[in-house]
Amino acid sequence: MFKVENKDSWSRRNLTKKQLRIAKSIQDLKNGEFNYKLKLNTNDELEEIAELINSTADILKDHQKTLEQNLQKAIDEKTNLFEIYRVVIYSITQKKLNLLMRNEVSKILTEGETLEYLPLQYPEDVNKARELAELTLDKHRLEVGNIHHVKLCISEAATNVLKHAGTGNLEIRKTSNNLRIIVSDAGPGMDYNKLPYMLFLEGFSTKMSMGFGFSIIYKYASKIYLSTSRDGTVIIMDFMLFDCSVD
Amino acid sequence: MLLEIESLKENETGTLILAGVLDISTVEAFKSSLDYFNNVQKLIIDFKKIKFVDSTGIGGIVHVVKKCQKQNTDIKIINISQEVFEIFDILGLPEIFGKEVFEVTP
Repeated sequence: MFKVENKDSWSRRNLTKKQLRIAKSIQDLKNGEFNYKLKLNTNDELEEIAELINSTADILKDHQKTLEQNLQKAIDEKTNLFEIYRVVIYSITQKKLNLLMRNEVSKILTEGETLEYLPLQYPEDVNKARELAELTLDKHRLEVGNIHHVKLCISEAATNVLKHAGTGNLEIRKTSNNLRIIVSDAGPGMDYNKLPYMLFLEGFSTKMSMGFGFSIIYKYASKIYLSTSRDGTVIIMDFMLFDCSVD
Repeated sequence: MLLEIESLKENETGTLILAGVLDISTVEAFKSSLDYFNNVQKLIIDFKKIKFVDSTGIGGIVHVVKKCQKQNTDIKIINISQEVFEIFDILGLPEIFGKEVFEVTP
């Protein structure tokens, strides 16, 4: 019931253990774990293999670091470009059009109080949205400069949702000074590069071919916040409210 | 239906009387209403009861006016309210198709 190991079998088992350690190191490399150093001190070919694995790990680690740095650089450059783009758009539009990153939107979305909400799904919902805006203003005794302009902007934004995203939502809010219309969808997003054409190029064909009544929204809203990405688009249109409690 | 369309044909003149809105929900019906008027010399579209037109509606109007002008049909859109005409103006329709095509309610 007891085993006696002779020297030969011990050394074979020893060898297997080291082989196992080598196999484990290669497994680590495969899993992207480059920090562990394999030390065998056998003074033979196995130690050479271990050294080879260690230097491979070092090289891979360097490569990975370089890639990560390049990626970060690309992200930073993109962020910088967006920053420049939005400053340019903001100043050319006399502070009217604000392009926002996705994570900056929530502040604008939650300011003030919500008055009404409407899902946008069918073509008839565009008319519903326009009428809802009118009813809401009446109900809360709010007054804007020109209700027809508000309805036009709602129509354009809601139609755009139906045409390009299929479905979306409309929310009517009131902030301290503004009627705030929020139109959002989870569609493919707008091309920021087309914005300047829609905003600043004169001419019917340009505006129509862009398929977006954005120039109308731009003309009539007091302020616009826009955030668009592959995850969807949020357009927020503010219309200045007049105080109607004063006679 | 958010748009009612009444079509009349007398001699060589066609008349379309529209009531409602011209937007994404009605623009196709408006465009196809033109099919009723084959070979008329003159087409009058009465906008008196049109309450609202957006850029999609304007797209439909462009389609209709272009088609008429191509067929040498004399087209006029009459009784456009000031409010509705604003968007015609912004999108430059009078400049493109001629001021005489659009008649605004004073």
